Amino acid sequence: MLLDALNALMDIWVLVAAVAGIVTGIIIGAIPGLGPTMAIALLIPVTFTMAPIPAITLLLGVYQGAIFGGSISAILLNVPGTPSSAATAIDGYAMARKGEGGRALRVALYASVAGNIFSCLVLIVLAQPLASMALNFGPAEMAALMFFALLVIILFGGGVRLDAALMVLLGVFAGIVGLDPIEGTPRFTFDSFAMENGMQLIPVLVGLFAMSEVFLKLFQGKAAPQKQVEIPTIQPSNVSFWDMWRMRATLFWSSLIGTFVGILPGIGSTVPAFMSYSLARARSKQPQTFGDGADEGVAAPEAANNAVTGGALIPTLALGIPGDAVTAVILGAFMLQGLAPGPFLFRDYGVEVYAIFEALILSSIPTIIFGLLLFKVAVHVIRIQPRHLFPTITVLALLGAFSVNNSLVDVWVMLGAGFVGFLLRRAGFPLPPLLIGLILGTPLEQSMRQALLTSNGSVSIFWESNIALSILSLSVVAIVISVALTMLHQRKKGHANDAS
Amino acid sequence: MTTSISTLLAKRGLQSLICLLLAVLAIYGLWSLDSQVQVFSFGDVLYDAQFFPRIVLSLIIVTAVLCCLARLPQQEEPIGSFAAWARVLLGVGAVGLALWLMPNVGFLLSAFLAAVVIALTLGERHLALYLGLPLLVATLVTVGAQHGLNIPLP
Repeated sequence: MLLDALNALMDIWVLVAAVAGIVTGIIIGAIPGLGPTMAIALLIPVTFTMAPIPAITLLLGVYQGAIFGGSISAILLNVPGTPSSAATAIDGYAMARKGEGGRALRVALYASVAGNIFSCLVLIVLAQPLASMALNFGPAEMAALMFFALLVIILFGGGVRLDAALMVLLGVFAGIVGLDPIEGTPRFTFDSFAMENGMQLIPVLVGLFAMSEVFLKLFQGKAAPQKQVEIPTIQPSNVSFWDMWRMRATLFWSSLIGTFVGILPGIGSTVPAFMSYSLARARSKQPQTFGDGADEGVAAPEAANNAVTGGALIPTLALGIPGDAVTAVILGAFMLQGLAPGPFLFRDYGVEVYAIFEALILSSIPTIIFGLLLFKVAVHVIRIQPRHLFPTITVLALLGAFSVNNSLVDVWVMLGAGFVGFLLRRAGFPLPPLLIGLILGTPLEQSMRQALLTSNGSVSIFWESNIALSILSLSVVAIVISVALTMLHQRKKGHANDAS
Repeated sequence: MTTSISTLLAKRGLQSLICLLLAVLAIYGLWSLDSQVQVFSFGDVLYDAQFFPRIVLSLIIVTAVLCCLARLPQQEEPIGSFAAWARVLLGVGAVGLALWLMPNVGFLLSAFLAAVVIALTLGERHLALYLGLPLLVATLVTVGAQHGLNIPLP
C-alpha cells in the first residue's frame, strides 16, 4: 500500500501543488488575522478540477506553510500571524531584538518540520487501525462517539463552556435545516425547494471565516490603523544539524504533546504550543534563559503547533470527527473530492490517503527550501493595508460559495453565515464549536435515531454495547476532569489573591 | 427598583442580546415545529423527524438563558458606535445588492461593485486602488474561474 501510494506521488502536479500550497501558506500566515482556515476555505474552488492527491496536497501545504508563516511576524515583529505562534513570540522576538532574528527563524523552521514529520508518522501508524476498529461500530457506538467529541469541544475547547455549548447547539441546529436524514421530510426550509439541500458546509465555512473577517474589519474601520512597523535587520546566521540534535528531547516531547492534544477535538494548536513551552522551560538546565531568547523557547512551541496538523487529521480521517476549524475545512475538501472521511476511507481509498500522508512528509523538503527563501520577503506582506486586501477576499468569498454547487442560494447562505459569524465573533463567542456542531449534528442524529429505532425505542442499547458504554464512561470521566481542573484553577487563583 | 433595572440594562451588551435573540428564535422554532417539520411516522411515534429538533431547540433555550444569567453580574462590552454598525450594514447591503444583481449583470460586475464599496468603506481614496484594484481582481477571478476552473459563473 505504501509503495503504491509512493508511486501515485510520482506526478509533477503533486510537486507543483505542494510548492504552491507552501508558498501561499507562508505568505498568508505572515499576515495577522488571515489564518490557515480562511486561506484553505478560499482556495477550495481552485481544487475542484484537480485530482484528489494534488488537491489535498495543495490545501495541506497551505496549512503547513501558514503555521510557519505565522511565526515570521511573531519572531520579527512580536505580532503573531496565527494565535498558535504567540508562544513562539516570547523567545523569538527576544532573539530578534538581539540581532538573532535569522537564527530564531531557522530554529522555528527546522522545529516546524520536525514536528510535522513526527505527527505524520503517528498519523500513518494510528489512523488506519483506528478506522478499522471503527468499522465495527454500529449506530449506538457512533452516536456515543459523536456525543463524546462534542462534549470534549465544550469542556476543553477553552473559553466559557456555556458559550461553547450554545455554539455547538447552534451548529447542530443549522445541520437540521434541510431534509430529515431518515424520513426525508423537509425541516425548517420555509417551503423553499433550494433550502432542502440544507446548509452546505463550504459556503458556511467561507462565510464564518472569510466574510465575517471583512465585516469585522469594516466595524473597526479606521479605528485600528495599520502601524508602520520597524523590521529588525536579519543578520546572516547558521543553525547546524548538531544545534537541532542538542534539542532532540525538547523536539520529541513537544511533537508528542502537539500530536496527542491535536487528536482531541476542539483544542487547536495554541494550547499545545504553550504546554510545550512550559515543559521545555521546566526541563531546561537553564530555565532563566527562557524569555530572553532561548533556542528551545522557539523550537518547543513551533514543533508542537506543527505536530497538531497530523494529530488533528487522525480523528478527522479515521472517524470523520474534525479536531479543529482547519481540519473541518480539510474534511470539507476531502468530501468535495469524493473521499468521504470516516471508517470506510482507508478501505475504499487507501492508496490516495497514504499518498497524501507521504506527500505531507515529503513536503518538508520544499517547506525548508521555500521557508528559507521566503522569510525575508514574507515579512513585508504585513505592510499590506486591509483596504487593499479585504475587497479581494470579498471577491474570492463570492466565488468560493458559488462554485460548490454553481448556486446563488449558497452565496446567500455564505452572506448570512458571514453576518452571523461577525455578530458572534464581535460578541466573543467561539466559532470552531459551531462549525464542528454543524458537521457532526446530522451524523449524530442519524446514528442516534437508527440506534433507537433498531432497539424499538429502548435507550438501553447505549449501555448494552461495551464500546458505547466505554465511550459514555469516558464522557463522564471528561466531565469529572473538567470540573476538577476548574476547581483547581479557582483554588490557585484564590491563593494568589490571598498572597497579593 | 427602576434605578437597579437601568443599571442592569446599562451593563448589557451584544452578548446578552445574542443570547436573548437565540432563545427567542428557538422558542419560535419549537412553536412552529408542527408546521415546519411534517411527520410520516413509520410505527414509532417518539423518534420521528421532530424528535431531534425538539431536543436541540429546548437545549438552545436553556443554554441561552443560562448564558444570560451567567453574564448578569458582568459588565459587557458596549454594542459599538452607530458609525461602525452603519459601515458593516453598508458592506452587507453592498454584497446583498451584488447578489441580487448577479443573475442580470453577471459575476464580474456585481463582484466589482461589492469590492469597490468595501474598499471605499475601509477608507481607500485613491481612484486606482478603489476602482482599478477591484476591477483587476474581479476580472482575474472571473476569467480564471470560467476558463481555468470551468465554473459557469452567471
